[in-house]
Amino acid sequence: MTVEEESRLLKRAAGGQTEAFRMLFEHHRDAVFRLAYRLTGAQQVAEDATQECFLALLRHPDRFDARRGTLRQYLSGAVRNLARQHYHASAREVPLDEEPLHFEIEELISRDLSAAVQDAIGTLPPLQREAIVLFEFEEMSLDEIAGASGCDAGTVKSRLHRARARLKRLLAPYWDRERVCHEPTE
Amino acid sequence: MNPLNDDQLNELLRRSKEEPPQVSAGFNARVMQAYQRQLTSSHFHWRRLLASAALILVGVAADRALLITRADSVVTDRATVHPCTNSLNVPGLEKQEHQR
Repeated sequence: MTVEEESRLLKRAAGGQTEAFRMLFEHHRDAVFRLAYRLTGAQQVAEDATQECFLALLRHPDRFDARRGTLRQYLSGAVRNLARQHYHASAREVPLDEEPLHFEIEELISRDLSAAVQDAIGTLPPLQREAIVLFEFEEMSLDEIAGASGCDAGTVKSRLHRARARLKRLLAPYWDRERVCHEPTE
Repeated sequence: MNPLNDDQLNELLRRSKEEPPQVSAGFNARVMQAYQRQLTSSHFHWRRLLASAALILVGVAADRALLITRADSVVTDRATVHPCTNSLNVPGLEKQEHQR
């Protein structure tokens, strides 16, 4: 879908044309939801954030400026803001960039791979989580993440390093289990 | 237990990416309903604004009409007043006026 098509659909959707909204929503839904889920770690919260992103876009369609980026980038920014609001609302006591959170290794090992990785990411402090999700899953560059997070690339690199170090420790038992499970039996 | 090395972590992340999370059943319908509700409430908002504006206009128009009617009636009253040519002949009244 080109930028012009998206802008046209957005105008029509904001004007009340349900079919235009459906097309926009179905085109971007999965990417927006995946990002929301990886940042918040909760299905319901991620779905609420995804819904709010689209509805807010239609309430203020003029806030999206196609010259400054694509609609996907705009929606990603909106999701990141909502995820941050969620951190602040639900975990005021957790410092954004400090050591975390309670975590059960046994619980992790019993999950399937995708859920286990998501759980491990969910234990990271929010700013480290944001950095690793944007870098590893959204495939953004250090500079792009720095721009989106409002810090310099060196800070992003440091967050990524700490996040990866923690994930290496957390997922080590899971790697061993996976290896045992996938070894050929005689 | 030794932590993973970079390759092992990358492998886990790569495999996790291949199994992306999915929205729950009914999510699309929920969003479409929310969209319809938002549209309805925003149309309702505009209707309320228009109704308020119309009410104000009616009020202003009624006020003006009332003013015009009053002005006409004053003019009519003035136009119909004629000087009284007949003197009032009440015995004692004239005398009392002189005494004052």
